[in-house]
Amino acid sequence: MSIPFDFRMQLLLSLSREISGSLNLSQIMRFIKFSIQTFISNIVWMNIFEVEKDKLIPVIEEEKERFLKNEKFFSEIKKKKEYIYIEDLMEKKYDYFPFHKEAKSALWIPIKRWDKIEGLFGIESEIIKGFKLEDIIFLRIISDFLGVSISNIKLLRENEERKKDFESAYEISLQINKPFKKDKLIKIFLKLILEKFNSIYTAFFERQGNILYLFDYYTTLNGFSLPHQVLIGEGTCGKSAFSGELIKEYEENVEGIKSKMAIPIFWEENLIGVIEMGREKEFSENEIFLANLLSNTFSLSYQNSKYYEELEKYINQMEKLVHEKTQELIKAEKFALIGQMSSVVIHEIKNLLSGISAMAEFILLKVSDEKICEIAKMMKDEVEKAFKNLSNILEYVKPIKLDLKKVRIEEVIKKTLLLSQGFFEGKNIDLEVNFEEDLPEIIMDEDKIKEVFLNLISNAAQAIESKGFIKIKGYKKDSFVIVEVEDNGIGIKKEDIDKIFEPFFTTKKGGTGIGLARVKKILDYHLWEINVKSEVNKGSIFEIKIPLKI
Amino acid sequence: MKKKVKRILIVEDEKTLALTLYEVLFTASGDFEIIVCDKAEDALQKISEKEFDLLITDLKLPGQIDGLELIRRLKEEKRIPSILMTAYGTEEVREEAKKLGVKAYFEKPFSLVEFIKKIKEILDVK
Repeated sequence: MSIPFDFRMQLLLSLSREISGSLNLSQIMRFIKFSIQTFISNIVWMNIFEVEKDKLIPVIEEEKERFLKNEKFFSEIKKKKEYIYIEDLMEKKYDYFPFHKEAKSALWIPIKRWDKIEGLFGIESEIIKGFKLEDIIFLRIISDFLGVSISNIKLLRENEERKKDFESAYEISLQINKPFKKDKLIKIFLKLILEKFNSIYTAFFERQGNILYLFDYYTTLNGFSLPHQVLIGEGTCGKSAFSGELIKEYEENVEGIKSKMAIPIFWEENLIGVIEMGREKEFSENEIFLANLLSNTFSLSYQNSKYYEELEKYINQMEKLVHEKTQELIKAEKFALIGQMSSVVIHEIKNLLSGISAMAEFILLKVSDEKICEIAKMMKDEVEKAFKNLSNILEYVKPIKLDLKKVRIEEVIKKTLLLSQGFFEGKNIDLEVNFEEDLPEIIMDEDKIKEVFLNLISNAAQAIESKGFIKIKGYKKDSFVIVEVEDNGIGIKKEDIDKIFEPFFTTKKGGTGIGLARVKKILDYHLWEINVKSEVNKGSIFEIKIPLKI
Repeated sequence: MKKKVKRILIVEDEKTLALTLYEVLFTASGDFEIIVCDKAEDALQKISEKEFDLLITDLKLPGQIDGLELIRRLKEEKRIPSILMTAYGTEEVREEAKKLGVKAYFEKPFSLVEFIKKIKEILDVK
């Protein structure tokens, strides 16, 4: 079972919060293990190996022997700097010795911080091809978070005396690692570091190509302003972007802002932007260290804000979809009511008309006066026409029962065309039928689908006044078979296009507005889609999209 | 030998059709006595008073009893051949009519010529 996208996103956000908020790898490991098992099944083993001066140190202790056996494999990933997915361990494509005896497939992801390998993340599954593409993407994102936290942990280890800075960085990270959108995150972060560093201003420049654009800034100074854009290589932030390192500048002879610091922000190997700040006092070594730590935290939150925006977009889409579906349902209910009502009314009218029809026939039978008979005949004909229309409406109103079989769509079109000869009479219409070879058989109610095409072809022929063409095409596209019925007739007015499938909507003189409504109803029952493109006086294309997998 | 008069009961609430059926049967070659009523309840009353050779009824009737129910009730006591007419033709109605032994089933509108032909066939009249 695949986990819905929004659920994964939420999991990612909370995972990243936990990972970045903790400076204890085994705690992180436990959390990851727990979370991953909730959405990837059949996992039998998982561990993180920290790279420490060319040595690998497992977070959870492993059997030394097995560990050593895999040395060759580990150095291969380190060299490749990309993940290795062993879909089937039996194939022996790699020199890999699984850690779990039931393992059938394995995934190994290098944990990188910028371009440096900080660790390896290994997972084994008890089934062959245990990881889907979306799982791999997900795990790679998690390993990015791991990279940030491992590099922080290492920094802490090397600088035990700077525990205080870690604690302040951690505090700030707790405040910004929330589901914020990008602009809000940046606002909050700029305000936090303004206070933390006692700066006069803090700013974030976002990188686009060779230019840094001022995204937002915070200042305590009235009338202070910054350039809207800076070329990479120019100014404090531009220099920092160019070198990829923290830049500190100090000018003795300036009023006010004597000291400036610019911190590049990376995600994976890519420069996202630069944080710049300024004040009178020079920045201390400790502050520089803290700024470096914060750049780690910020890049993680920045990335999260993008996930969050994506998640929100997705949720909005879902909401829109729900709204649309609700509207459709309301419409459907309205039509159902019209259906019931019209059924009653139609039967009443039919009853009445049957009397008139019988009377007209009676006159025809009993009266010899030609004039009267002619009128009676006309009466009977008119009543019959009315009956036919009413029956059409009734046909639309009553529910559809499908009799499904596997059929070749081109055969259905062929049979339909045999029935369509009458539509072309008296007109000069070029008919062109073109079906791709080897189209798969399609499950359908053949009679109903014939009715659909009969309707579309009849409409196409009616749209052509005297001379024109009708093209019927069938082809495969992705996991759909598409059938198009195209004509170069009078076309449909723009304002009418949305209405043509509604029952009782018609632009034709004497039309009942049932044909296309019936077409839509039949296709809906088949779960097929129909789309129309049309231009007045140029023609129309009706496209039917048949999904091959439902 | 004197020809026996065939007595026909028509139950139809649609006045135009009832009148036309009356007229067409009245003027048809055959000796028919035709009685028309517009409710099944009235029809049951008439049937209890007189013997009928044929019942022609609409399916949908005003009142509590519809055409099929009328035929069902008569089936138990008197075996009168019956014809069902309807504007509400469905497969279910057709099936039910068949089960009740209805001699003919006419979906409205129908051809008078066919209608008379069928009646004569049922009543064995030339």
